[in-house]
Amino acid sequence: MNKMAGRRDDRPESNREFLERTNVGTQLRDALSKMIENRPEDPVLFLAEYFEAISDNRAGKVTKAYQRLQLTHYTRPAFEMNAVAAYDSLSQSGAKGYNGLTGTVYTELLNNLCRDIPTAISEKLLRRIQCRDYEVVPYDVYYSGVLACLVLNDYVKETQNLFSDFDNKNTGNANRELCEAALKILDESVSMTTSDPVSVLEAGVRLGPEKLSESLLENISSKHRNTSTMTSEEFMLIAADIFLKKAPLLVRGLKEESLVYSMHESDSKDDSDDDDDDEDDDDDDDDDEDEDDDAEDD
Amino acid sequence: MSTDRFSLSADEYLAKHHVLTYLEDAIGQLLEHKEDNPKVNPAKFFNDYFTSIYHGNHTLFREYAFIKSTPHNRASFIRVFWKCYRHIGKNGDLLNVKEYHSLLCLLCPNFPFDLIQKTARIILMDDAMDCLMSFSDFLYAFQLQLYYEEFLEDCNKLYEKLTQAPRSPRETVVVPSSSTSPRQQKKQQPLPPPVDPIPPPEGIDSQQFLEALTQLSDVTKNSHPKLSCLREILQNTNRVSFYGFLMALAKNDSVNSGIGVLPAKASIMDDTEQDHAPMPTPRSKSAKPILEGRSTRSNMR
Repeated sequence: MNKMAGRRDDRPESNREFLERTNVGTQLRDALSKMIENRPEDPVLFLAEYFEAISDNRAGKVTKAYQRLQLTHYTRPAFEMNAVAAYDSLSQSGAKGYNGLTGTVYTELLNNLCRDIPTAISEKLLRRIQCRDYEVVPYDVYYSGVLACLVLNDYVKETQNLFSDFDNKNTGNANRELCEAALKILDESVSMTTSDPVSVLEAGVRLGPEKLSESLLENISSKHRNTSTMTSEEFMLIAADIFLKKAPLLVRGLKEESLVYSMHESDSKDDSDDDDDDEDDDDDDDDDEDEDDDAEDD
Repeated sequence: MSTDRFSLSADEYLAKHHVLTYLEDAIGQLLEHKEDNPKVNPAKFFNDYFTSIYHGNHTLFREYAFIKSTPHNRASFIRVFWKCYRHIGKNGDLLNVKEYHSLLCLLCPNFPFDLIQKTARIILMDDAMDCLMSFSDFLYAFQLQLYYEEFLEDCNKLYEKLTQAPRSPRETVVVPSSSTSPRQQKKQQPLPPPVDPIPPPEGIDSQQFLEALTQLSDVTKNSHPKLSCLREILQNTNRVSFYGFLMALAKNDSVNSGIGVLPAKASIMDDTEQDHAPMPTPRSKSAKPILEGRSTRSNMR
């Protein structure tokens, strides 16, 4: 490879660094190995199409698809239509032979979907659902991946709300016992779910405010008041792990049940004062993965 | 000689298509480009780069070394030259060597002069600097000289060797446009009027030459015209001079279509080309144009 002489000094980034940073080496190596495997009749055409596939207006396409996916909440029927349309638009590619959603594009989309989630958490999910750059991602994999990200978004928001309910004064720390108790219940409920929607329903019931306050009360009153705290990050991470344990199943279950959606509803009725009058569950038919709490337990 | 591309080793396959040459050049170009455009997206750049190679638009303003480096580059350059300057031909202007060289230097800054001289020699059998050549003559001779440069050198060597071989009793000086004598027949080569016929080097026996060329084509790694074309040219005469041979090659239609970038002589003035039609190269008979393909595909969306 030719290096430009004398450039190293002027540039903040040398040629070699530039090439490394932009992964040119990897791209070329991949291109070459594909070429050698496939022995296309016209290597130049092959390379032109290969690079087109990698670079085909990815940013624009992904942004559009992302926006489309945000149009309606995933619990609405229209969501699936949008998801299909987004999938189609991402699968289009000018280069012949690359019709289909490639792993690279899929990954970029997932990253976009997870951008509001703390990285430590989203990384975990992505690691599990990502596909390799050059794999073609079939629709149902795409759909469950997208859904997982969207649900995680909601879930994270809920856990944040939950935590701030514990942490009235917004100190970033909350009573450890409370947190642990809540997390334990959450874990148990989630573990109970199978792909059978009914179990999710039962889990939701378990997390209903009554049960929740019961167990919290139990936990608290049985010990001396403990002042050790948990930070919000830690809380979030543990909660996320609980989610991820069940991510594939949850997602499938969530497709039928509007779990997290109703979590929204009940939670909005919740407030962190001592009154539990607001916690009327008018959601008998709904599944409450209700993370509301009673901060009255003191 | 076209082996199945699957039976070649990886190295042979890559070498045959000059893949590494292009990849190296691609990186070089990318790095140069980055100087002025720091936010370049490499994949997009490579896409553009290889697309332009595919369409044959990539040689314009490049240095001679690059143009020379692959047959495809040479052919593309010839085509670019034709497209840029065919209107000269329309007016019937005649130019001399220096003028053609200047024209070429507009397209390639360091185009070597001696190549133009060699081209002129094919046409004029002389390197008279002031002799004028028509665009059409120059174009085809130029094509031959540039595309088959190495092969022509080899032919020359062969030719020289054969002229030193024991002479046949019938050997005489051959004059290009002389009338046929009963003892020799030579294929008439019509030369452009302004040129005075000058006795070329002694001819050699066509049959011998053809045999030598056949052997050469078996062993050479350089591009060369198809054997059938060579046979076609040499079969019709008993003796042939070197430049007579070259001129015949230059004007031969099958040789021209073998390279595949210039139309037949009658049509070089025609403007009927779409600029986006890809250059048909011998390598990729089934290639479809990317640009045209894109529009069809968008109809299928």
